[in-house]
Amino acid sequence: MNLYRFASPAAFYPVAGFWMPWFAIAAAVCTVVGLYIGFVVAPTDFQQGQAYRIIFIHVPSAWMSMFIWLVMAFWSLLALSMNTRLSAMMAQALAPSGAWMTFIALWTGAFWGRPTWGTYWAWDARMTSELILLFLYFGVIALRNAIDDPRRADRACSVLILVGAVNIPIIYFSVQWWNTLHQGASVSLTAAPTMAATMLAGMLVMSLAAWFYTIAVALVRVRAIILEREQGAAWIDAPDLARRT
Amino acid sequence: MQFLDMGNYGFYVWTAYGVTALAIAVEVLSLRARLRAAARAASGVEDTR
Repeated sequence: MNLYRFASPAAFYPVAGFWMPWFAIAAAVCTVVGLYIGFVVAPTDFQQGQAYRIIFIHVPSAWMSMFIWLVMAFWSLLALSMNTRLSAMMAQALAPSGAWMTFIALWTGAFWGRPTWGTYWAWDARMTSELILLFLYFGVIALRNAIDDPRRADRACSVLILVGAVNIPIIYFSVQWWNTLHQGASVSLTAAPTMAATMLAGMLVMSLAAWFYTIAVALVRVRAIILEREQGAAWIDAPDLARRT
Repeated sequence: MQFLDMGNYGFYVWTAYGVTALAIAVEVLSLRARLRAAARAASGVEDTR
């Protein structure tokens, strides 16, 4: 099978449509299971009481907010080096998802910070760099909207996304590089997690839910982008689309 | 009621979860509208609304 075939928007459009419902279902199932573990199975935290249960959306959305930018950087690199349209469309489709995840991470962080630290917001390195990430997502979306020619917009956005990737390690390591109000990582690939097993399980299942949700949403958005940009192309089955709308 | 109270942290927990649910709803609904508009435009059907 030649995978390069799917680099064409015409070939990818039906593939995205086929897979989208499966990712949406997986996201829903993981959300139900994750919330059940998080609210029923996981014990109350001995220091933070019930307030810690915000962790089950805060950590997954914060991880996704950083990870989505790295995925966008990957697609941007492909778009610039291979000049493939679909790669740039994928980056374009992920940007609003990343902005939403960043907003959720900041919002849930504020409402977790208030009861545990006594403040909704502090200008510490972790929070400030995450806020900059939100502005970078806004910047990518605004830059695209400001350029009429989609292929020029692809190149400009790809460059901005690659340059903006420098912020991701800054966010991730901010809790080590500077003294922050925000705590350090409780979960890492190199050390045992410093939290109860059921809490960790709930957080990981909710992270899976965030992954599946992001993929499902990005697949729908890339389909909309393909239709917007390929209007009038011979492969688009206009009568079939007319029947469905 | 004890569940909703969240050990006096109910306001913080449910505001965090509520706004997250709202954000997901807004994203899904606006995306559905965008896909429909794109499909309508690509199908060549005049928008009569």
